[in-house]
Amino acid sequence: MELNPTTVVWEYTLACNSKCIHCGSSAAKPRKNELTELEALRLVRDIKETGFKLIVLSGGEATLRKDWYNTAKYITKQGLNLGIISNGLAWTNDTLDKLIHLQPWSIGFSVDGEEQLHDYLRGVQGSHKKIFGHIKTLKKHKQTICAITTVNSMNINELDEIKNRLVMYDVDAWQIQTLTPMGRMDGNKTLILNEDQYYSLAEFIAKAQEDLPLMNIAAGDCIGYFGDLGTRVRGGQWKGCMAGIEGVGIESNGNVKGCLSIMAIPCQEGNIRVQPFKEIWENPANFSYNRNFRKEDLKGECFDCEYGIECRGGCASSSTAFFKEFHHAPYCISRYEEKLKNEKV
Amino acid sequence: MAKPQIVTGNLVSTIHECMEEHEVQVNGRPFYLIEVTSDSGLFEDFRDTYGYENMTHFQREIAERLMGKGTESSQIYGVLVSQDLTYSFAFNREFADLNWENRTIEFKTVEDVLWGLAEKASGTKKGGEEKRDGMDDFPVRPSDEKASPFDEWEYTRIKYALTGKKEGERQIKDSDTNKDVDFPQASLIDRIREAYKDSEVELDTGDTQPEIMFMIDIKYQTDTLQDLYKTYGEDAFDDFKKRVAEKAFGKKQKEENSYTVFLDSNLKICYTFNKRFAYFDHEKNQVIFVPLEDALLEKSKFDLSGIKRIKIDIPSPRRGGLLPRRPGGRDTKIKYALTGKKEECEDYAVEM
Repeated sequence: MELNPTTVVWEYTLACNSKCIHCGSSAAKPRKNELTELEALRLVRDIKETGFKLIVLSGGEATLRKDWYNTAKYITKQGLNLGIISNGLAWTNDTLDKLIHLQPWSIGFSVDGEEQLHDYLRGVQGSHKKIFGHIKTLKKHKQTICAITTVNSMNINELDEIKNRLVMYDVDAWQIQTLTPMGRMDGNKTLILNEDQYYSLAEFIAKAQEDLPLMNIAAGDCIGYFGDLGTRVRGGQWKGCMAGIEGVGIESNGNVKGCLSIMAIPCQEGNIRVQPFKEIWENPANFSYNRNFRKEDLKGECFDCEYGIECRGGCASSSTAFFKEFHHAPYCISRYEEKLKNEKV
Repeated sequence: MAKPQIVTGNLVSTIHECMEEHEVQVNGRPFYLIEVTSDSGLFEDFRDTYGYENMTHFQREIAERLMGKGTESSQIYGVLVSQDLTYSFAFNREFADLNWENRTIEFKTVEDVLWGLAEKASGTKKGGEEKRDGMDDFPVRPSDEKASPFDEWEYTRIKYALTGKKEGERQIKDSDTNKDVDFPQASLIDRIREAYKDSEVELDTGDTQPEIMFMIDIKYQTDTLQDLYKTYGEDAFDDFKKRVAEKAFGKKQKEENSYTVFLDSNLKICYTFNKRFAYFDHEKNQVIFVPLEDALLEKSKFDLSGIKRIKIDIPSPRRGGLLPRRPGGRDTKIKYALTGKKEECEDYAVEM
């Protein structure tokens, strides 16, 4: 499979000042041996040399590290696009000034509900107010804002209100994804969507995309992939999970993974302290679950699916979170539509 | 001490417009007549209004007996508000009322007051207010932000829309009244000040030293959209927000709005906000405004997508062509873990 190095999602620190009940990485305290500033700057240079185009600083909460700005500045200086995902809780006017100066490609905030529910899910009172205060300021300075909503059985009924708010605040992009049972939610299925809710979420996304043609409304990789609605939601562009093909995740201690969200099974491909990043990326034996995928690797209901080769069993993070194995989509729109058809017959 | 100069979101002009509906003429000058209810002593009001020195011993004794010296009960006061929105003169409605024929405020004589009360006491006259057709109801109550004795108040009604003038014979106390209001009877304006005492707050405007003010709540039928524009300033509204506001609040439509009103120690209305758009933070002693977006969202229980689409600035039609990128759009097209602006938009139908 041809590699197309595009995006690095970098857990800049695992330290976090939110207490999200559904945090996939159980973020709270920094990892032992997180990369130093110097290591971080070297890594940026290596990422650039490897051919990636975008680095997204994530966490934890990336801006809790005092050196975040230096690294971010270096990313832009290298001619790379910079993305930042933050909860904005610790931001000051100085942080906002720095971001405005950096002109990131996109600044992402999680928006998991209207004020009360969002604050409950994120575990911090006032979090929602803070975020929208920041969005207002950043939009005044023409920054690109992306909202990320992790949909669960509690907030699925607030999507219309969230959409209205994002429209009102002139948010540029909205990524909608589903909650998966990992991290703090590992083994806890209380907030997980059922199949019907999953399908109605996809319907909501498709309609929102049509209603708001200038807002970039994107379904997360956990939503799709084929069938009538799946094709609509993804614009007919699903080519399987891109972990290790277009994207890569780097943990704050230098571990390299295909995707930071693959949590349930160990899949570190190397560590940049041991081996240069470029070597890890270019080693053909790495990221084998995607790079060396074969039809026989499909599991469960995906095994004999007509879209199997193309789809590769959907999102690797969802598959591993639900079933502790790759290539086994827990939800699938085409499967759901097929079931509806059969029920009709 | 410098007065707070509060400009942001000050809706005093809205209150002024509402007050104009209650304009009366006193000594050839316009005043607004409102009504305030407070617990007070009827006998003490009587004594202070007419002056003990002008009564006979018999009248004093009858008054004490009929009104109950030192007994407090709910009293309704008519208050004349000057055009700069200062409470200028107050009278107990038991002793004065509107004369609809002469369109004046007319005080009863001491004899009439006592005779009326005697009749009421003996049951020969029906007590209570008479409801007049065509009068406006104007509820006044102190702020409900914190529990206070005012919370027990019932809404009072004001029903004035008259002009009138009564020539006075006796000068009223300078300290109590505006000199433009000239009645032979004394003003009970201190009763109002007393009544508002429990609603005192320290208002911190951030610009000057915090000042002690009276904070009360009132309700009016007003144009919310106008309040919205006045509160946030028209500059805060882009085309989209204007459309949302008009759809949410309706153009030139009146509805009941609650206002918090701040009066200084001279009982001058200094500052007012619509409670839909702001609240008083008792811990910070500040007026906190709701973000405009939230104020709009609160009232927008409809899908905003349609309005957003209408406002899109469409270039000259080019069939099958592409719309330009949004300003500031970048060249990178990446959809992974974080999403940026939409880079290209296919042609689509636009609802007009």
